[in-house]
Amino acid sequence: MERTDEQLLAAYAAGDQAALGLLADRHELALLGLARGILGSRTEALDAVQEAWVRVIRFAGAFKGHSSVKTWLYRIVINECANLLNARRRVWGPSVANGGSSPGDAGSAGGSTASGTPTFDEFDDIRRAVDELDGPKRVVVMLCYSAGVPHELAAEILGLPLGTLKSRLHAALTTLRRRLAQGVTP
Amino acid sequence: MTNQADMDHRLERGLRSLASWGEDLPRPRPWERAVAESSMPSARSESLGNSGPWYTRRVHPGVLVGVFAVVFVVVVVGGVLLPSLARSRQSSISFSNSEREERSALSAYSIAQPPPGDSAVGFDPTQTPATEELIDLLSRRVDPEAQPNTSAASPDRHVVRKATVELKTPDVRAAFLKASLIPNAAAGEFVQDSAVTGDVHVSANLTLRVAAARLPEVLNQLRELGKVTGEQVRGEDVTAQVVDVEARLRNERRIEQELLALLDQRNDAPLKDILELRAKLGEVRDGIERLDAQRANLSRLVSLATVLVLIRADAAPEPERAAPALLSKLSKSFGAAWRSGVEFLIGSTAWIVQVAIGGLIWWTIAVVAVVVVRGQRRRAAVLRGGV
Repeated sequence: MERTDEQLLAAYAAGDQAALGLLADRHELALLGLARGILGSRTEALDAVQEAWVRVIRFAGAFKGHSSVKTWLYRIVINECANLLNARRRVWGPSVANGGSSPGDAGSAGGSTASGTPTFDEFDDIRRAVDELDGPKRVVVMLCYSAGVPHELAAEILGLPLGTLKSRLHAALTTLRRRLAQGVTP
Repeated sequence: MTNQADMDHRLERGLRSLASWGEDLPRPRPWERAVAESSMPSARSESLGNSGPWYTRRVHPGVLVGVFAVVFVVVVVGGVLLPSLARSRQSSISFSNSEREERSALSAYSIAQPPPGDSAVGFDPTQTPATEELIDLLSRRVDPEAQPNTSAASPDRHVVRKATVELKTPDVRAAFLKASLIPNAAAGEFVQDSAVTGDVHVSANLTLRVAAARLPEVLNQLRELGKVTGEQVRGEDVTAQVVDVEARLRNERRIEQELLALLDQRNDAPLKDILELRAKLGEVRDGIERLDAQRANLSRLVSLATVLVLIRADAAPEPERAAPALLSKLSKSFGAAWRSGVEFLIGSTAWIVQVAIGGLIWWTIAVVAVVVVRGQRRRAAVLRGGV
């Protein structure tokens, strides 16, 4: 019988090192995607997720189960991303902090020309439009479009009522559409 | 419409693409690197900011706030409070010095005036009573009836006493006349006076000399002439001067005797020598006269205390007015209440401004501390899975 996330975390806290690997197998890919979406950089996303795991390792014994482990993991990753964004803003200023993606990052995920798939240029435009969003909106958009994160879970992760989350998502999408319509020719 | 739907579709796919990592997981994976990092004590402690030279370590913001607060308190205490304390200490020392002078004066007085049975009074010159108590002690320990002799000074110590009394009285002239009569009753003398009269300012100054033994009694009489606004009693020890004058006097008299004896023995000496001897004898007698006068003056100063009396006009009590009418009383009450309210408003506003500006650094520290603590708690809560 497959163990739950909570059971895996408890097992790791009790000394079962393999339990952490099982937990990572379940969530690490999605966490990396979320971090990359927020930060716009694969390298920084790796750092953020690694630092998140460090924190999980350090505080695994202190987890009280007030929320699910998945929620907890996402919150830690979002906090680490926010820390990195703040550090980037302190070092490079707000313009660079918002435009943190690199063409290499964009190209690695985009570039498909199949019908209905964003082209390289489109992907780059969307990336830029997302980067121009402020932090909270960017987090909402990326979290809601992450794999395996329904809106209810996203609301729980961010500590928002579901209606608030949806309205923020709507506002963020409207902003993105407007920017894309202004600056991009799909 | 189709374009809009198409754009939404493309946007959604783009966003999903942005929020995905792909299938290629990095090697080693982040959680493996995290385990490796956490398993290395040095790396872990480094991540906690506890390794390396002190200047490279990360310091907890709360520690920074605490250090800043301590530095601020030290600066405030060192820069403001300590000098203030030092000033107050200096003023206390100077006050003690003045007390010490007063005490030494009284001590000299007590030596010059050792009444029989003094121990019954319990006077201790090492104590530091206030001026009023000193005067009271003076009044109690000298009994004029028991010591009517004005030359009450001890044969060992000679002290010249001086007192100053400042009075306020509505009737300066009457007080002036009464004060000028006091020396007659106190075996003393009236030395000097001056009076200023006018419509507004009326004042009078008197200098009296009274028998030293009756000084407390005289002071008591002066106190009854008006409201005492200041009183001071001082003593100056002139024993050394008296001893010196008496020694020189004895010496001069011895020389006089020797010159007289020489004059008797040398009746047959030349006239010139005899004249020189007489001239020398005259000089010695002049010296004896001067020294005698000095001794008499000193004795007089010791036996008589000098009292300076300063009389000032006190405002006469206002005549009772008729009871105000009820309406005017009411309006006055309203006026007073209004003024009190306005003063309170101004005072409280000034206080708020003072607290806001004066405590700016404290407010800043408090705000920073609250922000730091809230941030830490929020982060800790997230890490614990709370919220």
